[in-house]
Amino acid sequence: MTSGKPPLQTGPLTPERDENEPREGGADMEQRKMQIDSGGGNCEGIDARLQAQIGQKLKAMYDEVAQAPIPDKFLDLLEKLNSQEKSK
Amino acid sequence: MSNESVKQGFIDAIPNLRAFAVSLCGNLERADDLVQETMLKAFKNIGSFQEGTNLKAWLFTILRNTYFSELRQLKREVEDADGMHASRAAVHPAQHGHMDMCELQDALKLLQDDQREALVLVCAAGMSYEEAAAIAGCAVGTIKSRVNRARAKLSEIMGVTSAEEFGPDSATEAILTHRVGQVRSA
Repeated sequence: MTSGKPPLQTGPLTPERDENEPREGGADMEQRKMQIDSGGGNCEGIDARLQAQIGQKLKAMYDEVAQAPIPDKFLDLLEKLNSQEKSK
Repeated sequence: MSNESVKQGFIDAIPNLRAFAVSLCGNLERADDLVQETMLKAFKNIGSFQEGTNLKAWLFTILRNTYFSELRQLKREVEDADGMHASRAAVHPAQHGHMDMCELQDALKLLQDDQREALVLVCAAGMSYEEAAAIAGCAVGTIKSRVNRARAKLSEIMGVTSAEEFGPDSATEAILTHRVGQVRSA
């Protein structure tokens, strides 16, 4: 724990953590995954680690596209549709 | 709603529409076709958009409806073509070693379409369960259970894929190797 590595498997188990957790909404979900991720170590921990890993990969896959610049073809199309609307 | 504000709303939504489409269909080219169709439909039906409501959610709904109706069409065609379905089902995503983006995309394809949609909306697009339910046209509870099932299924697939890292179960390993071998030799 003295190194800079994140504690992947050694986090303490906190079985009571489910009690106060928010259950709804995207942001809450993310937070929940992170909480689960910090409590690994046994078989359940493996699943929680996997879940957290999957969540991160999903988000990364989505963000990679969501943060890419908009291709010109869409801007051109919008321009065209918009001028068609106007001329109606 | 003025043309200019519609246009700006569309521009703001495009990056998310593309990301949603890629996550649904697993292919950027097809995703961009979906986004284009969505824009055409949205412009044509802009009169049915209720001003003051969420334009992004409205566009997401058009996109997923377009995707699912194309998918239904495609499935009918595939079922008509003899043997096609079996060969598609035999594609197994497992590759040894670490889970990467490709494996996630492959694994996503193994999920039921409605489960994949729910998972992407909630876990990747950051929608609330309520927003996701409105987009998918189902109850909030349905979205929750779809997300749970999708996560369980993915973790099952990924768990097998990254078995080495977590300590392999030899029986699973044997089956996996066998299946991968079958697919590769096919």
